[in-house]
Amino acid sequence: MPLLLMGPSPAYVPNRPLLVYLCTLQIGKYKKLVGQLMNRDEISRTHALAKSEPQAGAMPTDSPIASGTTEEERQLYTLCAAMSQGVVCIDAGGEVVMANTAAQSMLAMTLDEMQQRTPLELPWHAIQDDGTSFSYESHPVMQALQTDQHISGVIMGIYHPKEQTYHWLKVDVIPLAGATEYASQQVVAILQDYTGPKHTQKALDVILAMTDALRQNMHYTTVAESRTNTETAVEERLAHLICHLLNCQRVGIALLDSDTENLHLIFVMGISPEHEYHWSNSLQGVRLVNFLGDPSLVSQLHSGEVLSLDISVPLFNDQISYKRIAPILFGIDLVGILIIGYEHAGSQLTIEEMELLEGMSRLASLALVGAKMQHERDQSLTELREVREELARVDKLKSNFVAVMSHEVRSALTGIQGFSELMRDANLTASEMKEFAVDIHSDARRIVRMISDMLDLNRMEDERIELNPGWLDLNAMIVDAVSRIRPTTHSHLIRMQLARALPVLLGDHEKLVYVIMHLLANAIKYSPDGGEVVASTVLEDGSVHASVRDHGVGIPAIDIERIFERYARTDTGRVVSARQGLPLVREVIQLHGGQVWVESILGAGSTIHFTIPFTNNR
Amino acid sequence: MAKIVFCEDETQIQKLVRVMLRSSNHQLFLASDGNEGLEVIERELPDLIFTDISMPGRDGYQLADEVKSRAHLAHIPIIFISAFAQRTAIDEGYRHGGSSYLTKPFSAHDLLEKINAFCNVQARSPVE
Repeated sequence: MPLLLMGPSPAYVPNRPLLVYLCTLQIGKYKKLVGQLMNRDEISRTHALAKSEPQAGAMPTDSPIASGTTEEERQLYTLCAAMSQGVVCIDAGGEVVMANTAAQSMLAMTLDEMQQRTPLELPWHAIQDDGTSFSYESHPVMQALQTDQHISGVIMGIYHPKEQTYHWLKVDVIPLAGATEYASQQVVAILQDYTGPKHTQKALDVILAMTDALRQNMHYTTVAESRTNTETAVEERLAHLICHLLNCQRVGIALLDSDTENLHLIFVMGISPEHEYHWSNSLQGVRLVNFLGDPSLVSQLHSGEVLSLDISVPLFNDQISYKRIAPILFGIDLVGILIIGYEHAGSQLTIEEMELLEGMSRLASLALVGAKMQHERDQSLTELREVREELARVDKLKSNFVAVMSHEVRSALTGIQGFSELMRDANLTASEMKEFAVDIHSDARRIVRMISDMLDLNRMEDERIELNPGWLDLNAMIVDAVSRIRPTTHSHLIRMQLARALPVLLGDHEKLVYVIMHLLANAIKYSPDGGEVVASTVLEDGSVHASVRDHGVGIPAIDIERIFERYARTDTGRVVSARQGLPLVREVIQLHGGQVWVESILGAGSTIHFTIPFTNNR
Repeated sequence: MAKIVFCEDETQIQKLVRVMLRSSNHQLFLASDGNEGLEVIERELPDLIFTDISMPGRDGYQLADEVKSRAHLAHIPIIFISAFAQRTAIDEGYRHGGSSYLTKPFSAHDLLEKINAFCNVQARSPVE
C-alpha cells in the first residue's frame, strides 16, 4: 500500500498533515501491529528517548521493528516514534492503545501505564486552562469521540509528580475517518508542549495588569481606608492572576509603614470569606516582626529574599497552610509584602515560578515607585499651593497694614502739622498757643499709642507676649475706667450695671484696663449723637461676662465678622468700620481664655461682649 | 465769601479747620458725620462741601452719592479730605462724584487754595 506522503495539504503545521494522513490511512488497519510494536519494543526506548528530546525526522539509531512488517509499516512506525509531538491513539471506548515516545514523556507515563485506560481514568491529574479539572463532557478526547468532530487547541495542564509541577500541553484531537474491523471509531490526540507559551502568556497578563494599574495612576497610600474601589478592583484582578499563575489558594498584599514597621493590608483573596477575614485580621496594623515572629526573617525580606515558610511558622490562626512571602522593595527600602498561601505541603515552586514571583514583586515595586512619586508630587503641589495662599494672605495683611497705618498716622499728623503751622504763622493768644500745644501733644501721643499697639500685636503674633497675672477685681477696674473716661465727653451718660459679689479673677491688670478703656472709648466715638453707654458685668457659669453697650451708629452687617480683624479693609480700600484697638482687645481676652463678640443693629447701637473664665484660673 | 460745609468726625480736625478759616471771610458749617452733614447741606445749600471718607454712620462716599442724587444739590462741588492717599481711594472719590481730593495732613494754604479754585472768590489768607 503506497504511503500518501504527497497530496492535498490541510492547513496544519507541516508535521501534522503527514501524521494525520498516516493515521487516517494506516492506524486503523495496523492498530494491532502498532500496538504490538509499541508493547514489545518501545518501552525500552521510551526511557532513553524521554531524557533526550527526540528530534522530528531524526531516525532512531536502532531498529526495533519486528520482522514481518511491511516497508510502509516500518515507515509509519519510524515517523510516529521520531516525532516531537506526542501522538496518542485512542479507541472508540476511550482507551489508549498507542502512544509514541514524545507522548509518554509529556504525560510522564509509560505506555504500559496508559494502555487499556481512558484519559479520565488515568492516574494523572489534568487541569484546564483556568485551573479546574476536566469533566467527562469537557475532555477533548471524549468530545471528539462523541461528536466525531476535530477538537483543536485545547490547553491542558498535566501534573508531573516528580517535578511537583504542571506541564502545559496544547491538544488537538482528530477523529479517524475510516472505521475498521477493529473498531468502529477512533481518535488520535496530538500533543504539543505549551509550558513555555503558557508561562509567557501568564507573565504577560501580569505585566499588562501592572501596566494597567500604573496607567490608572494608582495611589498606593499607606492608609488602606483611603483607597478607591477602582484601585481595589485592579488589585483583585492582580490577586486572581497571582493565584492562577502560581496555583496558590490565597494571596495577600500589604504595605509597610516605614516609621512604625506596621503592615497595612491592601488586598486579600482567599478560598472563603472566613479565610479572608482571618488574613485581614492577622495582617492589618500588625508589626512585620511580630507577624513573622523572627527578626531574621525580616532581615531576609529586607535583603530581597523570598521566604518559603512551612507549617512550623504559624503566621495565621487559620487552617494549616504553607506560605511564600515576597518582598516589595522601593529601591533598597522594604515597602510591602506579597504573601501567597498553599493548602498542600507539596506545592513547591519551580525555579521558574520563584523567578516569576520575584518578578511580580518587582513589578509591584515599580507600580509603587510610580504611585509614590505621583503621591509626593501631589503633596508637594498641595504644600506649594498652601504656601502661596499664606504668602498672599500675609501680603494682603501687609498692604492693608501699610494702608491703615498710614491713614492713622496721616490723621494724627494733620493736627500736629496744622496746629504747629498756626502757632508759627497766625496771631494767636497765649491761651490759644497753650491749647494748640496740648492738641499737638495729644496727637503725638496718639501716634506713640498706635506704634505701641502695633508692636503689641506683633509681639502677640510672635507669641512672645506674656500675661503678668495677678488677682484682680473686674468691677473695680470698670468703675475706675468709667471715672477716667467721663470727663472726655459731655454728651454721653455713662452708666454701670455691675454684678454683686464678683469673684476675684486671675488676669493681667494693665492689659484688661486697656480692654475696658478701648471698649468705652469706642462706644463714645461711635455714638456721635451722645446717649447712654452702659458697662455691665454678669456672673455666669464658670466665667464673668462683661459688656459695653452704646446707642450709636452701629456696625454694617457685612463688617461685623471682620471688625476684630487687623487692618481690615473693604475692596474699595475703605477701612472696615475701624474700631480702634479691637484686634488687640480680642487677643488679650483670648489670652485670658475668654471670648469676645459683638452684637449690633445698624443705626441703633452696638454691644461688645467679653468673658473671662475664673474656674480655670484657680 | 463762600458758604462751606465741612464733614469731619474728629473734633481736633474740626477745631483746626475752624481756626484755619476764621480769618477768612468764608462761612464755615461743621458736621460730625455724614448724616449730620446732609442735614446741614440741605439747610445751608453751600457753595462747596468738604468731607472726610471714614466716618461713623454715613461715610463720605455715601454722603457724596446722596448729594449727587438730589437735583437741587447735585451742582455743589464736593472735595474729599482723607488720610487715604492711595490712587485707588482717590479714584473711588471721583467715582462718587468728587470734584477734587485733599490728603491729610493738609495746611491752611492747601485748604484755601481748594476753596479759591472752586468758589472763584478772593479770600483773605488767615495767616497774613
